[in-house]
Amino acid sequence: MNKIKTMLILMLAGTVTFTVGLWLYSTKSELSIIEYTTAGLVFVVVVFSLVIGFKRLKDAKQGIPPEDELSVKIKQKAAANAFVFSFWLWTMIILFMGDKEIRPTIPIGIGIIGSGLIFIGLWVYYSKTGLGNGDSN
Amino acid sequence: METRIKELRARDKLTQEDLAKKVNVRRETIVFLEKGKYNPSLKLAYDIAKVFNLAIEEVFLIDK
Repeated sequence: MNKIKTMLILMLAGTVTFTVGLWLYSTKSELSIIEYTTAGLVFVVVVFSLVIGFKRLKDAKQGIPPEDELSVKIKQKAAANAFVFSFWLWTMIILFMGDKEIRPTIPIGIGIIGSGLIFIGLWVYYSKTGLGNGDSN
Repeated sequence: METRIKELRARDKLTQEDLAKKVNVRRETIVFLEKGKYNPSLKLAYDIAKVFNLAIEEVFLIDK
């Protein structure tokens, strides 16, 4: 099961990289700073996924469980808080971009990638600091 | 919650990695348990206590 999960993470990272690469390659017009930033942020998410995927494979080879009860709880707490923070992100996007004449894909893209980055940030934070006694039960 | 895991590991000459392997968790989980930054599940507490041949309450010291 863990091996399947790891392969799915790596396949997803590969698919996203291929899609973004294809988008950058096939775009005829000059890319704007927002589009370059979006591609950069997608790159960060992909690199993070690859690091996690390869770490899981390495752990599995050494007989270390890729996931245990603490790592699952950290992931759940990061996801739950990322969900709440992403509401704020979407509110900001609507406030600042709602009236501007831009392609609708840009705020949607920023929202989706932003939510992913918030999750990564919280996951790294909880992985470093732990959950504390009050949160782990 | 305080634990005696570090002290008991030293007594039994176990590394964090050895203990982690014995109870099938990642080493980071043992690190956070020793620092008192994680309350384990009942099963994990039981497994750890069993490694040291002690009762759960002799390994995990619950604050009053």
